[in-house]
Amino acid sequence: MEASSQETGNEPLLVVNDLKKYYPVNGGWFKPPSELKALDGISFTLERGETLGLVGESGCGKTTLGRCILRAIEPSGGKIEFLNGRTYMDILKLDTKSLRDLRAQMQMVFQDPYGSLDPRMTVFDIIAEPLTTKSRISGKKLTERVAELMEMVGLEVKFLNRYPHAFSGGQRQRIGIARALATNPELVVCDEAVSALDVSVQAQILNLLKDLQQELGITYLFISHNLSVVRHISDRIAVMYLGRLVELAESDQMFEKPMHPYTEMLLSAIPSPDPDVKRQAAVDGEVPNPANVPPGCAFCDRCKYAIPKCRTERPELRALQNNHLAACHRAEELSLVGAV
Amino acid sequence: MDDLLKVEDLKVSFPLFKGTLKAVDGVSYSVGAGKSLGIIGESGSGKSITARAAMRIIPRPGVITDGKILLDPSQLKPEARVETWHGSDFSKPIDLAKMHPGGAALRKVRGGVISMIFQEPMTSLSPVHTIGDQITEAILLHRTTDKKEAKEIALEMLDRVRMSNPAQRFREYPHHLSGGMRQRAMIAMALSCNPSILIADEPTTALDVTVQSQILQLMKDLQSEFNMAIQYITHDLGVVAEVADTVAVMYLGRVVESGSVRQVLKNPQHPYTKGLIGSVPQMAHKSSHRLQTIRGSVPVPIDPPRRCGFVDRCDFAIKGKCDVHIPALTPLSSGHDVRCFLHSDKTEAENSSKPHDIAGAA
Repeated sequence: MEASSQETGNEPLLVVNDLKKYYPVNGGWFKPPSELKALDGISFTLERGETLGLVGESGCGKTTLGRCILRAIEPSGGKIEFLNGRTYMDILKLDTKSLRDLRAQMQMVFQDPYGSLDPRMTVFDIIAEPLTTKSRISGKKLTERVAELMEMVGLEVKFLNRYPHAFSGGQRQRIGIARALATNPELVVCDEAVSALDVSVQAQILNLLKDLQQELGITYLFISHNLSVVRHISDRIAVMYLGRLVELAESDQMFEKPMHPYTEMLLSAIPSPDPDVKRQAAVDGEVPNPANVPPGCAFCDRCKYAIPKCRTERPELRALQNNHLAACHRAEELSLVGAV
Repeated sequence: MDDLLKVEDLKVSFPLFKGTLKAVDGVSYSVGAGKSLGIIGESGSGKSITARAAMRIIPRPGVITDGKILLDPSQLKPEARVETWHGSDFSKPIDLAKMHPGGAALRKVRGGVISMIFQEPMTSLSPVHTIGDQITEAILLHRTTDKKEAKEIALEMLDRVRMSNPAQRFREYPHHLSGGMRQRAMIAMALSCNPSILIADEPTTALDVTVQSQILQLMKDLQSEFNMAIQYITHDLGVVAEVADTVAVMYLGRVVESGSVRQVLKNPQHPYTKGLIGSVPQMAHKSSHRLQTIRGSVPVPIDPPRRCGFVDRCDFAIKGKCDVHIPALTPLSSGHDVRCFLHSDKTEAENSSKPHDIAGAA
């Protein structure tokens, strides 16, 4: 609780420090067991009311990070401090009961609008469930609150007693959002919340998420593999590669002037819907096996700027100009190409 | 006939308990030899069924109720022509829609003339056969009966799709490979019989952007190497802009707009195409930009009423016109066709006797 002594007006909502999640990998007969480092020392802060986008290729640990913050997956080490009222609480030290109480403040929206809703519950039951377990309201008040939530996410209240199968993908995602907002959370983790939707519906949901943030002052951790979507919704963006953050910056800044070669590669790979934009895709190699990460910089085998130092010494995430963080030995000397 | 594959007024419907689902309702397009056509559409637009119809692999209970799928044998590669259609005249187009779906002639077309790659390489490859076995199976069916030779061809194909260490990959199972490598294996399989047309149904949707850009580059390289026509089916406008020469935008079983990539993506005329382009977040947008949306969602075309399919979601719908007639696909400028009453008063009925040619010869 030492952080609570900072009595400034805008303390961060969430402070993640050196978060780790290791999975044991069984060895063979002649192979010793080892560890797969899904998260390897992640540190960042989330300001109240902002959206932090989290991008990376599949297998880089984005989802693990999102779930560790809610302690849906038990992290192996580190510290996650959440501002609850006026005091910071270390989520990892909470017992089951206080964790359950705190979870009303932290909710999640999932990728799959089909798998994340119970097909045997009506919309009312789905949205009311967090209210009855966490806020313990019932009767007329409960019905009113559910109706209010449905209106908030753009669903017609008359659909209250229908089952999820009667809704389209976009509408189901709205139900998922209403459920997440039911307890008035401070933090909503959106794990690929729009990836399964068609573009026209995706735009509706993105606009809805933005509107809700303005209205309710929610903080989002927005996890996605789609960089254009992340840029659209985020104030700041964090790029992950093999369990580590490699770059963190304001979103316009990162797109205009990336400081890590991996970000440059990701940006170069996005096809533009404008046929006049000719991009120079410079993508090389594939993500190495996370159970066998090379020493030094994990990206060095795919990096065209690598120097011998990169193969031996692991670069730490460090601050460069204007709150721009990057984990690259050569961040200052390289001038990398952005997307605009 | 100047196009390699020409689909005319194709209709596919699924007789269901609730009514007839018209998945494809009068689609016409054509692909020139060595060219790429991109078919854009959201889920439920009928784009995948259209693609499958060309190979006659529509899932049951779907049936082709009308239309032609014409293949011009004179433009096929010589080795694909031989023996393919016994006694048929190579100067006359062949209608695939009339062939028996289980017949020997059509089996020669599948794989040998038209080949297909699918979205999810893990589910479309057999998990219990090695990569090598799966590629040689197709080669043994179409190209040679000698197993040794087939293996050589398969290894060469793996090398051509830039797989590292082909000899080892040949013996491996799909679960040994990463998503990008599996997609490469599938491309190797599809190209192993040197097809003239490749249908790629969402080939990169399941892949990361970095892998996607590698696979698209590979497909472009192989297209010129093998001189084949590619029909891309995708919902990703970025992919289409990158690889296609001509584009057809589908909505509810119909083509609503078609033309060259530049015509359609830079100068969209149909309200749906405009909405679709406006709703894609783009790199050039600042984060404060608000996305344009199309309200509502794609309806299910079970016994659809005779009217423009987009009318319920359209901001420019004209009462008494859009909700009672189906607009016809009419040319706007050379090669650029639009199906909308805002641009032409022609209705489908006046025009239905004469199937229209869209997407041109590219």
